[in-house]
Amino acid sequence: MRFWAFYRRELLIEFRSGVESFIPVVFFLLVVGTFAFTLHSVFTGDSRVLVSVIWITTLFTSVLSLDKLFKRDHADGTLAVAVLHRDAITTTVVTKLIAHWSVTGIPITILGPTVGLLSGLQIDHALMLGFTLLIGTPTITMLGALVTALLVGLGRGGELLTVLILPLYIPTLLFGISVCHLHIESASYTSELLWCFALLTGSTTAIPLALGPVLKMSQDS
Amino acid sequence: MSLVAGETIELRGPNGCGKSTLLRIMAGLQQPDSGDIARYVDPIGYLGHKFGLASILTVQENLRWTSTLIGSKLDTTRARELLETFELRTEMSKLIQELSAGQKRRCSFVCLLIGNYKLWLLDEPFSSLDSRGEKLVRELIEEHCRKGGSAVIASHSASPIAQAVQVELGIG
Repeated sequence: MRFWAFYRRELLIEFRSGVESFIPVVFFLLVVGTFAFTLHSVFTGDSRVLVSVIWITTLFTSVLSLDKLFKRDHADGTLAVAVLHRDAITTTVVTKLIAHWSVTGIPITILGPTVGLLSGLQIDHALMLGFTLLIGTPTITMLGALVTALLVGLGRGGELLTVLILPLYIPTLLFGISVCHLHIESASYTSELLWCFALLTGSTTAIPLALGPVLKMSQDS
Repeated sequence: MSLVAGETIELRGPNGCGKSTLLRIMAGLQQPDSGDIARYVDPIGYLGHKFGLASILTVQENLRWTSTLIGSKLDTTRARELLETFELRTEMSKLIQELSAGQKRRCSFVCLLIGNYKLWLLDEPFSSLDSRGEKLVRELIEEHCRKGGSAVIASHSASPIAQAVQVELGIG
């Protein structure tokens, strides 16, 4: 009951924020769209470039959207109230991350392959791209949330966030792109895909548990 | 310094003497530079300088969130009664950002009551409140302690809370 109540609240906040919540997805479409129009001949010649562009844009979109993840709650004092409820903080954080992924990760997972198809990507390659984004975007959200939680107490988190977060994203990016490239080349991608799953499993199990104490610590700054 | 059930401590002192910091340390939101603190109640009802209300949710949605935090379902009858007491009955469906500062403070108190916390840590609880609101909050704190609850209050108010132990803090 608690999970759904929190999830409903987080979705309500996301939707009531209006345009602000959907700017990252619009940014993603604009960047990928710009590349698709300007480098169309490159994309049709080598679809590996296209999937790389979509993956890299996904990372930058994530940085853009994660900056505000805990900022509003910190500003209005609800984050302080939440961290004082030790038995509820993990559920609060998990639902916040799922809601965030629902409004950014899911649209990107759908739009990425769609833009790929429109730019000449074969359907099976587009499906593999969608699949890697489906298992890659939650990992990106989790890793980003950890850094955002550490920086929430600081006034100038935005600039630091970009510098700190991108190196953490590199393994997810490399394995995600590798799976797509190897699939396009009809080579074996099992080990890379297993690494993607390992990163997903590790981040979704460990990070939500760490976020409660990290957020409490960030109240001290 | 110790606090037992039914007791109220009122922290007084000039700006910058550490009243808010002490409250945050008591709440567990901040670590002390030295010394220890032991808490035997959990969770704690903390009301800081910020209202602790989600600005783009309605009054009712914020009350529901508080109930969910403590693991219960919102008792709508009690919520209506409390909103009536705090003269917020007609604001129930309004977004927090549409309320005045005084109304937000009142709403924070409704959340505090919905939370059924044993220990209240209140930082400047009378700020933004008019004289009626201040009187209401004073009565509320006194009633909370009569019922066995405890409160620590950081206040600048000229008149102290009845029955409260006054602790004067200084700078340096």
